[in-house]
Amino acid sequence: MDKKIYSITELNQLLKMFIEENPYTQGIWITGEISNLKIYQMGKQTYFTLSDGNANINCVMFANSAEKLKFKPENGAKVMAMGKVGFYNKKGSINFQVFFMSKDGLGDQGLAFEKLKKKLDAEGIFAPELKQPIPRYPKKVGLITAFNSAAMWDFITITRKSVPGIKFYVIPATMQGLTSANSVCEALDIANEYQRLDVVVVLRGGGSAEDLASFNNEELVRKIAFSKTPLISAIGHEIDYTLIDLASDLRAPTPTAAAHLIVQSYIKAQADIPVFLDNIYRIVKQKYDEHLNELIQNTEQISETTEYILKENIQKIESLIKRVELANPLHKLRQGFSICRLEKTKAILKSVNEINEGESLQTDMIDGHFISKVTKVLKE
Amino acid sequence: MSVKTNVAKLEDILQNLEQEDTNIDNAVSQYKEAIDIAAKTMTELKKLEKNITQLKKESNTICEYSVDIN
Repeated sequence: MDKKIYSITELNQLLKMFIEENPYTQGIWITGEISNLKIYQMGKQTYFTLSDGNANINCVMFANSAEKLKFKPENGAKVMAMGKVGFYNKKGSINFQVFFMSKDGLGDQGLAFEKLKKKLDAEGIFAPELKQPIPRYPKKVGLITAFNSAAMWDFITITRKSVPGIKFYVIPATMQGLTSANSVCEALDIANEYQRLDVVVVLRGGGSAEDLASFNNEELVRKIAFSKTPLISAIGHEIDYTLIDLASDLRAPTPTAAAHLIVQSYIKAQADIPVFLDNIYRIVKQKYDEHLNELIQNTEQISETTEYILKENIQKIESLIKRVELANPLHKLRQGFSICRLEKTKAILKSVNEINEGESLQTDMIDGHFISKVTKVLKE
Repeated sequence: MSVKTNVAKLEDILQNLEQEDTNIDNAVSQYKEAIDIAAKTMTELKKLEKNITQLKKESNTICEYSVDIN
């Protein structure tokens, strides 16, 4: 078997996939000391290194996260940062993209989040073995969301634009506040029990950490992890990580991204079908050409052989006809020979011993016969 | 009617006709039979020849159509 040789681009794509699609590297907290701090005013990106004294990692904070910082980062400052590990294809380098950073460590809510995350992780609630594959071509999509919300309509509009045939089953739920976790649990029960859905999407637009807190509820996280129907979580913006994102079968960074995930296979198929058809046409045409050539050759061969046999038979019959003509017994009569018979019995006479004097004889000639009487028999 | 059988029959009759002691009446009747068989066989062969020509023409047309479709 030939060894697969990867290009650097292919290798880096693989590494990016392994790193960025791994739940253990996404939505995690790290702590360390800032060094090499560079703030680019133009793009408003902040670059720095975080170090714990033994190891370093390069970090980046983009403008939308940096502008929410409640302190000014400085070299030497000890911080806690929440974000995801990213892989930069072009340079083949790893960095940590920071979504949130705190100088004072985690607050009570953060500590509770981490404690619950650790506990559920230890129980295997986020284990890859629990993840169900998302159907490539879902036809019935359940939406657990606030009815008539912007997120719901964004999702439906984007999905319908690409694939008009998809059916949506909206199961309304409270997506914020104290009753939210319970409401989403009930909606998920309905989705799993009463609808034969291909996939369920839990949808909510962006909000503050407090608004999204219900999606870290332990009961809800467990229910999501064991959902019978494959489930996509699409809560808030890309920088918002909740525990249901870790428990779901697939996390979409935003409701819009979830819509694109649902239709991506359909869009790919729309592009692939003409290529498949073209391939099928080429294969069929190749087979057709092969068979056609074979047919033409066979037809010619059969035709030649049959004609040969026929001609041979005609020649044989013609030659036999000539021989039969030559053997025509009446030829002898034309040459002057005649046939002599007893007139009474018509028996052919071959010897004078068969004749008696006085008997009537019939003599056949080419153009008729005559009767004569034997007057004398002479033997030689 | 088999050409092969008729050829064999004709060859038998010829052998009889070519024998000197064959009764002339039998010879005449066999001669008539031989002529009849030969004529019928030839008619059949001509019919086959016509059919083969027609089939050849049709197969050529099919091949031409196939090339066109291609």
